[in-house]
Amino acid sequence: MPERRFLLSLSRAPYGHLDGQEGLDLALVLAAFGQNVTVALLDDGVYHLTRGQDSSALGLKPYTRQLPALGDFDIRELIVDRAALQARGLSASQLQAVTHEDDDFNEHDSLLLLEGAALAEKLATFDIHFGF
Amino acid sequence: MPALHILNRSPHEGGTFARTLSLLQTGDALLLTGDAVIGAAEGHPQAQELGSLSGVKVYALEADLLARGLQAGEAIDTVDYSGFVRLTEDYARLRHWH
Repeated sequence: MPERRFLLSLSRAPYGHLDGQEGLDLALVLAAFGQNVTVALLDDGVYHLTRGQDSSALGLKPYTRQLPALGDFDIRELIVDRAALQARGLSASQLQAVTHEDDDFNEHDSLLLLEGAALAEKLATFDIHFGF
Repeated sequence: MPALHILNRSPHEGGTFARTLSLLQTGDALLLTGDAVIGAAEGHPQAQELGSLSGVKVYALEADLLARGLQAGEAIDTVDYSGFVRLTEDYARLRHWH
């Protein structure tokens, strides 16, 4: 059987709900079992990647810190909805850097900013999509 | 009688945020908590509208801004948890929007 490609998309902001944490957990579990996983941040999900987050006053675990470490789990692609950034007055420079190493240990940018038809086309390429 | 409106939904999630704004009256205050602080963030299109509401004070819970790496826009005050409690004491009526 050919390899199945998984997509985990997060569409709600972090900390207000458990959805994002559950979605990321599933991504990391799938990756730990050697599956081909991509993560996408859509709509309010883009707030997972803003710089300078401090959830200590909320008493919540800073689970979004797992995102810049996706590369360590061999998750090499993090899709971000560029139109969602623009609608929220956010720019790509306000996002944390996320990188991964290829098979020859060369470092690459993992962020893939897409919008509109190109985004929809990309999302449609995955075999299994879990939306959170 | 003036009311404190407490809202915790993102402006991008359903119609709760917009509906709450439409129900504000002069003398009321609006406290944004949880995902609603997104609308108060500097640079967000909604923040400008919130800052220019006439006769309505707008507050955002600092802990929720910090957690999301956001800062409050102009004319929006931040409160900590004690400030949250004080606001509930200052207003005779409370309106919770979820």
